[in-house]
Amino acid sequence: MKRPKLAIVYGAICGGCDVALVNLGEKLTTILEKYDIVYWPAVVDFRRDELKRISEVDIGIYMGALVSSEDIELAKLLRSRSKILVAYGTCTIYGGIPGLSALLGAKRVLEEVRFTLTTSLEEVELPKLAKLPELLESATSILKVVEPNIFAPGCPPSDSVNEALLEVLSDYARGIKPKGRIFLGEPTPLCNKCTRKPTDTSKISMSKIRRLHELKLIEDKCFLEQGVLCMGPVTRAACDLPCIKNNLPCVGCNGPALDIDDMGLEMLSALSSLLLVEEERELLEEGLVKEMDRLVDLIGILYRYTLPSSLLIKLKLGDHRGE
Amino acid sequence: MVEWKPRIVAFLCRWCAGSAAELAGISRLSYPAEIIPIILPCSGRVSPRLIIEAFLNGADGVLIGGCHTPNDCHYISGNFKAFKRVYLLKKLLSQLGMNPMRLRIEWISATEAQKLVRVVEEFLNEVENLGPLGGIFHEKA
Ligand code: FES
Repeated sequence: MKRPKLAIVYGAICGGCDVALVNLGEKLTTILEKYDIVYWPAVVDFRRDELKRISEVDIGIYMGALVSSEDIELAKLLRSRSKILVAYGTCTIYGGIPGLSALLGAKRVLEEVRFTLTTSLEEVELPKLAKLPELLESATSILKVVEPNIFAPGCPPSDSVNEALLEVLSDYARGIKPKGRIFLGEPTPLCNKCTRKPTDTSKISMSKIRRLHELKLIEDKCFLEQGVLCMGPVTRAACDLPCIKNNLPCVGCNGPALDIDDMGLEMLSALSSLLLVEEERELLEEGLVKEMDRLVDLIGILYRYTLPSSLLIKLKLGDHRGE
Repeated sequence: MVEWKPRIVAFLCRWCAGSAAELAGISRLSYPAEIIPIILPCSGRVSPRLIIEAFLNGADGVLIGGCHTPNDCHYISGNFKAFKRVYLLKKLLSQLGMNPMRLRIEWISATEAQKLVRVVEEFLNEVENLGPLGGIFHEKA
């Protein structure tokens, strides 16, 4: 029987996604035995031209953010060759950490890089010497370029998401094709799955805003109730709660839960309904402001992983009016 | 070329700011026509998303009018919720590079038709000075 072909390509990748996949160890190798790996920079030595020459792969996996013209081309190339395209990792799906560069724009990002003290003169001249791919104004979601079939969210995708992906791979090798648009992992908000329960589930109130080092954490109690900002209410529960279990609040790396498209705005709204609800009347506006001013870098908190695919960034890029 | 006029969306709660707008009408006070009032049950109903969508759909400024704190809101504490949302959103927008003056919240009771007119005129003026909201990469905060 002909073995199905697998290609894995990288955009702007930190390597974590690759490691997360490889971490599956034996489970991965037993499935990969059924596949021909035609492209995967970390594993087999093929050049990009060879990917171009291949007429068809069965499963194409795109990892990493799309930050340059080259990444866009690569995503298009992979889409055109693959029967099933997998968007792997939060960077690919929502922009991820590199997506925060959308705040600065390409020109300022390059300036920042070139004029830091650690950069040598030769590097400053680099773009003139070599023709580098053009940096996009903002890192972008793969969805703005092509339509993937399968989404594996997470930074990096959790074991449960990876195992769900392996299942798809092994099904495919047995001739069962995935249908429609599939999001791997639990779709509901993280709070549903969280082990730290609030005192009263129907009414969580945050009586202060504190950073982790500023308080003595009670280990089985809801973070929000203790005043620590946690993105649980709006984040997809596709992970195995590694942060929560290790006494760290959720930072939203799985992207928005089902039916939420802009997790930052949604969380901002939720936060306003939780924060100091019992104390509103005595604190009044001034007191509320004082506590809210403890939140610095709101974008970094609310949009750490999803800025390029947010409504908010449309406002920044001014692409809403076609002017 | 047509002269640019700012567009302002005002979300007013039905019990206070909205009633004030009606009172202004009944008392024949006039206020600028650039403002589009939208009456909602309570200022606490205004989600951040509603505000952002207003900006995305062409508003140059967004005004939110509710009942006076601490005790006037018809739904007890909707105005406090609105206040927190607007304050945090202002922080968010200025981090993004947009002038937070484009967003304003005011408490206007049902009898304060005069105040409504003053606020609308003032706000319109401010937004007019800021100019149209295009791409906001270079807007000075
Ligand atoms: S009813 Fe006016 S602010 Fe709630």
